[in-house]
Amino acid sequence: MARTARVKTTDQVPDSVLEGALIDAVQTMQKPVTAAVLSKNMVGPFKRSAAVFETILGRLAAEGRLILLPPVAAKKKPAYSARPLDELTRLAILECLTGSAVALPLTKLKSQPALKSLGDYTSALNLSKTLDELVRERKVFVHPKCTAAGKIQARPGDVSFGVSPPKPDLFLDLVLKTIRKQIDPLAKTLEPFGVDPATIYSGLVALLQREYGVTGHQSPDRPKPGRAAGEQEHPPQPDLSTLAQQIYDRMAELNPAVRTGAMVRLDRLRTRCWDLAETKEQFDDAVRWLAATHRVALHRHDDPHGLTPEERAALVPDDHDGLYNAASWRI
Amino acid sequence: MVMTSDLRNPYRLTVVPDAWQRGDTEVASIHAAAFHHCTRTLETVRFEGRNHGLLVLGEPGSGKTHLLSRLRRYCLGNGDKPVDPILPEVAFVAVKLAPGAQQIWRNLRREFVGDLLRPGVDQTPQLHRILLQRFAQLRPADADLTLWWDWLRQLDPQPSAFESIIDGLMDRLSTRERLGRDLTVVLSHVVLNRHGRDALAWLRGDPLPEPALANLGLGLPDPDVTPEDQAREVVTALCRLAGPSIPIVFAFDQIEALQLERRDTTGFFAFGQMLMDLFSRTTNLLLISCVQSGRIQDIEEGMLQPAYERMSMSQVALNPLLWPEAEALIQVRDRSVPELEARRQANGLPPLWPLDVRALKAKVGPNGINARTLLGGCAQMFDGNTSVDGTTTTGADLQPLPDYLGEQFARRREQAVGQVGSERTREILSATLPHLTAVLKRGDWKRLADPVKGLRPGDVDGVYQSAEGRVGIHVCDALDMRAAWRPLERLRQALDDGQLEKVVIVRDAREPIRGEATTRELQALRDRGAAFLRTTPELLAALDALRSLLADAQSGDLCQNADSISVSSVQEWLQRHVPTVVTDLVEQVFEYPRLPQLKKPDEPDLEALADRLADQLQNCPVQSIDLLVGKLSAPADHLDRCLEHFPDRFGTLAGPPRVVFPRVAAGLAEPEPEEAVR
Repeated sequence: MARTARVKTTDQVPDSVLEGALIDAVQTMQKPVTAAVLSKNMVGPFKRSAAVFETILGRLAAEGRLILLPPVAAKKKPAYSARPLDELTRLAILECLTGSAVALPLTKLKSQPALKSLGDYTSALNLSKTLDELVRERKVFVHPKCTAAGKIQARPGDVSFGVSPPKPDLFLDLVLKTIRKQIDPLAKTLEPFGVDPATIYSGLVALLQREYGVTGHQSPDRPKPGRAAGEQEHPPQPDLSTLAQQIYDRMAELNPAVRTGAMVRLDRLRTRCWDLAETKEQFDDAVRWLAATHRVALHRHDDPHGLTPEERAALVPDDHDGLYNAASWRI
Repeated sequence: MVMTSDLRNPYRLTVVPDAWQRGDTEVASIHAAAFHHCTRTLETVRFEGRNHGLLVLGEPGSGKTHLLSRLRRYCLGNGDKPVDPILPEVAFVAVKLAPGAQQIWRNLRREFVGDLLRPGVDQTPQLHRILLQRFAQLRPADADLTLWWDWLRQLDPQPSAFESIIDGLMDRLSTRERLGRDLTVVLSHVVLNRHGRDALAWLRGDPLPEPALANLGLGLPDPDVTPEDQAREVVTALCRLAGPSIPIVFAFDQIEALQLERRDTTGFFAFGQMLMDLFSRTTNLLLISCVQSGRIQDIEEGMLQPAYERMSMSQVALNPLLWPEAEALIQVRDRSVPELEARRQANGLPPLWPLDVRALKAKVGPNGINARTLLGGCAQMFDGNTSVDGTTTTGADLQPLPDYLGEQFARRREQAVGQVGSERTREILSATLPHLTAVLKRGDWKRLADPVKGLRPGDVDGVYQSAEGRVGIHVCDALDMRAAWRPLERLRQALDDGQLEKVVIVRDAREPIRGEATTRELQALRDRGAAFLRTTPELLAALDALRSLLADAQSGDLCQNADSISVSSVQEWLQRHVPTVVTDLVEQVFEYPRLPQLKKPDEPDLEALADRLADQLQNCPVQSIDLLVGKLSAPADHLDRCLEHFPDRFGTLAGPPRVVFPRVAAGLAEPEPEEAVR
């Protein structure tokens, strides 16, 4: 929602001062503003009717001190802004894309209310030009169109736009299927030797981390490639209760029998929650929180000293030297 | 200050030893979901006619064995339960596992038969109930089948008529369920109360002499079928005997005890294979496996995936108790000592006095506590209130661990003396030797899983290998010695071929060596450096006590006031306190001279002479020395040295004439002096 200016003074002011105050008020607005909005927000000696403000604003627009945006519908009123039109367009594009959960193609972007209010100025040509600038500045990213199976369609111009690069998940589905085709026979071959598919996938993740320097859930402390240490930006993390709920749900995904009293191994659960908890500490905190709220029972390992340091490090500790290796729902 | 020193501590007992333990205290709400899961699954087995595997997971002391005990009471009832076709029948078998992957089927057979023959509350063994139900299906009957049985028995005054009815029913049952001739014959004996001791021994898998087998109407076991295969056949046939309408609950407890050490997975692997066999050969089993939650990874990785999937078709976890459940458990224990409540009321004391509720709540904490730890804490608090000087201590002083382990060992050894017979020599040696080599630091001996070239599966009961070579152990428990020479011959060949560096023959000291061929092969083995060990009841009892201590430690059930004692602590204690008989055994098995000890020509072989002497005394138990010198063709001084060397096997009366008699094993009692006998 646009921010509105509120000017406070106790004395009547001359017109010149009022004009200055109106220009200041419009300048503080990111989006174009109507006379009615200003009339509602101006107080004290600057308070005037919308009609008075309309006259003054029209005059200021004619003098070139403000930009007038004609109404886009018959019942609408003109709006005014102190910003250049291309800047308004840039801001409107970013607003639309930020507010959308998915990337938008040009046609859909054009019909968004924020851009429609700019009127004729937002022609396809102008939009494309502004979008190109934003893409160059890496403030907007082009998303290729792809099929449901994750295959990219190569038709030129058939693209969408978003404020972040496209997530690879959709395209990775296809890759994952290919990997599965390779891993499944391998898993069958290794099964008699006690190697389960989860271990193979864990090994693959570790291999990817080592080979490509990817920082996944298992090495969260390493800076991400392309960023200097200290500059890393973690995606916003959910709060503890949200994370705990997500982990709780993942338990059932990992082993549906938890609903009827089964347990899950915490090392497996943590692997399963790689995309939820950035660090092991976050995961441990969330699991302890679930235990403290009696939603989950933690099962203590009877002989942690008999484990290797790596195995021991995978357990969830408590405040009293207890180490837990499994969890079950309290039902 | 109000004291409790004159009251029994109601929280003291914290370990449920097995599922047959009478359960006096029970809180229905504790692990109720797990219990109902078990009963629902049991009904699924009954109605769907297919096996089901249920994995019960929990910390040590969480109540796994208690849950089994509760399920046992659910299955078999607490009071008289009529044998009636319209009432659902179920059999319950509790199997406490122990190390010994090589004889897992034989152990299962022994436990299975033992539980089927265990008298119920109404004194009717489960096997009899099953047979009555099956007979009633073949020769329709209803209402109380024990009355029907009595009526059947009195139908014809001639006993042979009743026997022929039973034989006919058994034959039909055998054909329907493919029981096999031997099992059918033995079950007929059991039903008709014929040859009771031998029939039960055969069912358990104990070796029987040829005359006893002939008496039962059985031949000698097929030498080409291994004892493990025989055991598997009997177990699966007994499962089929119950038929689709009578599910059998197999409650496998202490699965962790199959491990010899943390990384050892051979036991889990064998257990998995056994489960797969049971699944493929039967349709009426509920297989409950109790596992410590901390070992789930070891077990999952120790067995084949299909085996694990069968074992864990469904799962229940025994969660730590939260305060309401903990309080309920404490209150139930409280009620077992009514004087405690009376004292509270008389002195206006709070409900859980003398327990510190705040401290207990803190101990339970947000994650909960397992029942054993809770009760252990309560027991300590209770004891802490018993001091007579008016001060409250924090808890009773604990006995030092070595003393506690010594006491446990002595108690278990005493129990084993009357229970462990020579038929369990193989099982006990397999379970303890690997531990003992590690504990006594007799080299890095590993048990080999691969067969030795030229030997059949029954020829060796364990092959151990180290840098020094390979030692094969043969437990010779055949009562009939006529076929015993064949494995000895193959063992001699294995020595000659270099497949083994040493052979150890083990035989119970109470059993004689008979047969010309067997004596000859034994002598040939001795000439090649083989050791011939005669096990005594004292040795077997000590080994069984060690086995039981280690198995309990491995599965977290060896506790001192609710604190689990680790395997390493037990091993540490063993290093200093192993009985001499056990140390001697390990030395004889694993110590070298690697090369055969060739005897000097004038050196008598006292062991061989003792065996021949025992053989002579078998028919005529008291004979004069002069007569024996002639019969054995041995010099009199050799015979004297033999008698001095084996005082536990032979006694003498001074005479004249001086006579010799065989001693009967008398548990741990020291051999009586000659004067006392006189």
